[in-house]
Amino acid sequence: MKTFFLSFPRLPVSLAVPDEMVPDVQSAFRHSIRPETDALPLHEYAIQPASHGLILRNNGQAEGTFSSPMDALIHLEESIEVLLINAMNGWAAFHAGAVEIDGAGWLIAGHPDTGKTTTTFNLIEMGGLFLCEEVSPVDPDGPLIHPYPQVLSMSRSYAEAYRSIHPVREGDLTLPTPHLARYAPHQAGSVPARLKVILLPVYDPACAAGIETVSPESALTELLGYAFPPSRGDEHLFDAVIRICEKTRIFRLRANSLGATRRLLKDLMRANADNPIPPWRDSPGDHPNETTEKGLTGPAEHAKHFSLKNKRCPSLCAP
Amino acid sequence: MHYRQTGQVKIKKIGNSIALYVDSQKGIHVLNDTARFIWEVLEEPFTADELLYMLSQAFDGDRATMKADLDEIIDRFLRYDLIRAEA
Repeated sequence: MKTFFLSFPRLPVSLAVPDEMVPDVQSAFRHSIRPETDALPLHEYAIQPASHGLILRNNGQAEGTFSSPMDALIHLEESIEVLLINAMNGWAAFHAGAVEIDGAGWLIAGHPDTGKTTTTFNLIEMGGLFLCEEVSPVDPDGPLIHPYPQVLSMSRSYAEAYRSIHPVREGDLTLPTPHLARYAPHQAGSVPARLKVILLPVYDPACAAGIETVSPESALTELLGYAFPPSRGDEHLFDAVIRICEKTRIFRLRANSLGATRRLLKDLMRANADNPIPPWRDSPGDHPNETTEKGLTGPAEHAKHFSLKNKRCPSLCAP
Repeated sequence: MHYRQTGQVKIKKIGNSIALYVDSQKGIHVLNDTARFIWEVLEEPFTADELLYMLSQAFDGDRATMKADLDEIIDRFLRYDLIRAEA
């Protein structure tokens, strides 16, 4: 058995695994492994061989039995995500990926199957520094994205299509199962990045491709939908997300093909490099669908409603 | 029938708009300009006809559409306990 010390935002963890799983752990947690830790681990995980598979334990309690090292690792990643979300306290945790581009943090938020992970993957391959996958912890003071650089999981068919067009240079892309691809970026940020851009990707082959600016008030309820349930007060989460919306530029990225995604991201990266991003300022033309002067030609909805009642953990909604 | 704000709401500024937070509902409502106008007016009690008149003074638009918008907003405000009806 070998023991690793893993460092996540506000969450020191130790992990003991059989020697044959050492390469898998080194690959899956390559950016979180620390040679030693000053803080005592809050959670001690162990993956132990058993007659019928591998048992995953957290602080001595069995969390499940798995037939393969990959299944055990995927469950371990999910278990750590839940712990991380519960450790947020005054921060907000989004179901999102994140990268750093030219010193600015970009958050890519969305439900499963909207293109969130593939957009993060493209941004890394286009030169962005990897920060987060699946869970992005954001301190609303700043706001700052804290790195949680886990391996990206995406569909094998997408990965194969991508690889047939573009070389994969910035990470290791593997195809461990008939449906799953895993992408481990070579580099990842180790310090928090100031959040300046939020991308809301939409992938629909039937729609026209394009980028839309989204106002903070239009984005609020949608972003709340991508936030994990708060470990502190509900109102605290609402206040945190309001502050985050007001201090960032928010864009909806409508892509209808792999090529369109790359082109739109390139345009957006160039535009933001040429024009450093200030906090949101309203300007004519930014809200083409909203009320102007006197008039009732406002958004279709008079009041967008969002409630945390019955809200489930977004990762649990994944198919 | 008069309508007026309930006292359960906290107002939060967001961008160019406001959001109404209701603790008991764990919910938040982001208002557009029309809904915000009606919400702010209902600090004092008014009838639907009075609200429609004020809307027509403040906004351009077809009166039938305005009435439909107003009915929908009042319905929504009542549903979420943002306003109450008084005899």
